[in-house]
Amino acid sequence: MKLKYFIYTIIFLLGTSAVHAQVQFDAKVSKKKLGINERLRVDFEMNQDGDNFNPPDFNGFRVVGGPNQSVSNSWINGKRSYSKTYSYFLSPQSRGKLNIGQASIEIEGETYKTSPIQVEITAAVTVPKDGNNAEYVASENVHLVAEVSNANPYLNEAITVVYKMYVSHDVSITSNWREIDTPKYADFWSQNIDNQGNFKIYEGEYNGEDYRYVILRTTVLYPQKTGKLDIEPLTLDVPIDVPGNRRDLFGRRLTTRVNKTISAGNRKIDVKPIPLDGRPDNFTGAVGDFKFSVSTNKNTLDANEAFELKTTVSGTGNLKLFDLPSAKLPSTLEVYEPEHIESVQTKRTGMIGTISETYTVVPQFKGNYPIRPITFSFFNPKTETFSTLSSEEIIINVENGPVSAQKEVTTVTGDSKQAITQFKEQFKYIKLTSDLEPIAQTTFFKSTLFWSLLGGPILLIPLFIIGGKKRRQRLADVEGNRLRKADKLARKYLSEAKKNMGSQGVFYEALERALHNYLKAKLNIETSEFSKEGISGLLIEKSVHTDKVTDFVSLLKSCEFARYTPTSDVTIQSDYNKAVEVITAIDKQIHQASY
Amino acid sequence: MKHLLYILTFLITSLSFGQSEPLFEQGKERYKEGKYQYAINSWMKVLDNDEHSANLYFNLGNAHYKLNNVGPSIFYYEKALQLDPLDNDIKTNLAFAENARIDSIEPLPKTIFTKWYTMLSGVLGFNGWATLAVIFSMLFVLLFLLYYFSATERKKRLLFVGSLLSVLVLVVSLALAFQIQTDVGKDKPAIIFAESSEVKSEPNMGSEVSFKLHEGTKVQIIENDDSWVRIQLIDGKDGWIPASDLKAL
Repeated sequence: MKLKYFIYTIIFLLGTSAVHAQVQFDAKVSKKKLGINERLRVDFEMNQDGDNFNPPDFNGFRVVGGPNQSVSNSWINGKRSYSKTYSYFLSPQSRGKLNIGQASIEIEGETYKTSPIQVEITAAVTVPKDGNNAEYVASENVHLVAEVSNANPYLNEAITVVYKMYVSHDVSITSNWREIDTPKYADFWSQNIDNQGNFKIYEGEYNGEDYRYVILRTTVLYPQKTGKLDIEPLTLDVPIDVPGNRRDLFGRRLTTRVNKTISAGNRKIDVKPIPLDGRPDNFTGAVGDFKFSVSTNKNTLDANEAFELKTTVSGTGNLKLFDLPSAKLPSTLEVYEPEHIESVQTKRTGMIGTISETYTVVPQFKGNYPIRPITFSFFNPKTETFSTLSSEEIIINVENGPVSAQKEVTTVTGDSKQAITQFKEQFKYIKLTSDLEPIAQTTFFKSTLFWSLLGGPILLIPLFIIGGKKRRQRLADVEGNRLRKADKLARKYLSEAKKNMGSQGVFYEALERALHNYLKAKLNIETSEFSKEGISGLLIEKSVHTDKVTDFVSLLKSCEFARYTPTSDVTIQSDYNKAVEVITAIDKQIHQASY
Repeated sequence: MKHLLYILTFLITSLSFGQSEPLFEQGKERYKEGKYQYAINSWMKVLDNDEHSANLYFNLGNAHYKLNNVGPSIFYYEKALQLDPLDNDIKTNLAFAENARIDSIEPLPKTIFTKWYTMLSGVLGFNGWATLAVIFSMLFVLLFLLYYFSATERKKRLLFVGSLLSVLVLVVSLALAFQIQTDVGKDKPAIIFAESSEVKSEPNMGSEVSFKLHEGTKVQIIENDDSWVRIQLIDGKDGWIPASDLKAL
């Protein structure tokens, strides 16, 4: 008996615990068959709370909404019922049979999975065009349109996108709409023109019917990339009041409020690149129509005084999107980072205004500093041409100051002990003398003259040395000296005779005279009147050898004789040599006698 | 034949001397009146006559400076300095012109020996050093011979030392003349004339831009290739530049 109770108790306990542990985790779909333009709701429902919910990857579907989580907990007659649901809204992407895969969850340490569900997607189902269906009426009477000013702009050319909501006279919008999706304009520079919530209602036409419309927003876009660019749609959730057929007690039509999601379609913009032909070198991407100017606040100043240089671009175009041409200044001018000032308004046609850069410049040294014309190029999309604007050349005249850092002369005066800097250096005036010389100069270095002047004196050294030695030898040799002297003497006396060796008569006359002159010089006696015997006696007296005396006399004789008889050249030559010999010999013997 | 040629050239130069002097004067007058462009025209005609001088180049530099032509003014001052490296007027006005140029390039530091060398080469050109060498070679010969022939011991010693010293000076000045001449041959300075010029890494238009130079900067020409020139800056950077953008000194 005890055992029987015990078994019942056990069965009861086991049964209740089994009931408590009964976990349910199911997937449910709203429809098993739907059109491709319809949507599907999938619920994953469980009766106990779990962790790590893992949804399937909805292949073939696009998740439109979800996951939405809902939990319900109720006690009925002391019995608790709990359910937790994850919901997804799916939009099919292709026709055919699609599988929704398994979702998984962990409940009390165990993993549970749903069974896969097959859904059949058919062709698009037509929306009922029932004139009384509020949804249909709403969708037919409210439209959102994006108007693009230019679908084929150049790079950096302004385009305007205007979002207009058309509402027909049949429906009305009383409360505010909500933006679901705001376009991002990824490849554009964009700026919204705010209308501060004041929506003005315009009358217009949409598909040939009268509509009212409001401009929701205006956006100015500057494309930053070439090629086909997408403008993402603007999507709004608009509450629309649709008047129904029923009327209230007072005869007014009852309205049904429908929340409708409307979206301006995706717009594609084809952006043209800026042409390469004729593009100036200094083109930095400015597109529009501009004016350019460069100005300074003073042109004449002293060193270490500051002046301002301002470059300004004004006009319409992508003003904020390009850099101003930088000013190139001489290196000795100290230039500080420019101050960038923008006063640009964005209007529906694009940016308009002025941008400018102000450089603070401090000249260090004296002189004239030309600031070369600065050029600025832009592309005008209207005329489709490039324009290059050039500023005027500006001359900065620094009147007082040092010329360069090194040449500054600083003196300290004794009294005030104040450093006075003297700016001595002035710009020097032209030179007044020309000192012209031919350009084509011959180089002295390595010329023949140079080498001979350089080497010549050195070659002279051995010559001089040899010459010196010779001279010394001669000085040493007394006998030779005397001989040379007598020979020289004879030649001196006979020089006239030698000159006239060609004509016989003149030669012998000169020879005779020479012989007499010699004796006259040597013996200091006029011998021309002497007879030959007298001369020979005189010579012998002077202890001259008799044979030389005979030679001398015979020479005199032959001179006389030759005056009247022709002789040959050979005789003339031999007589001349003989005369030299005789004079030399006599001279020698006279000298020897005198010592 | 050769002699005839010399005589001819002499005649032509003496003839042109006659034309150039009035042109120089005319330039001076126009400069005084402030007609700098006309002054330049007159002085350029003197150059066309194949005549020049440091003063002429200096005046051309002044006129260009007055017209704010930075590149040409630096060019002519440098030309003037080549002919007269020690003139202070030229240096001063060159400093004025260099203040107005856009690039500022720090030169590489020089060793003490290069400083001495530049100083020495500045004092005399290679022709000057060659003349000095010739003078000292003559002096050496004279002293040597005097030494050789002199009788007293003291005189001999003095003259020997003197001749040795002059040989030393002769060798040094000869070496300097050679060195300066080779350096002058290598030294091909040029001034950038284009207002702004891109220095490329290769001698063609499409190649990469290494750096930019502006009017008035002095560069060294290293190589030539048709219409491109390879240049080097004083800070050691180098690159290729179109030949039309610069003018060799």
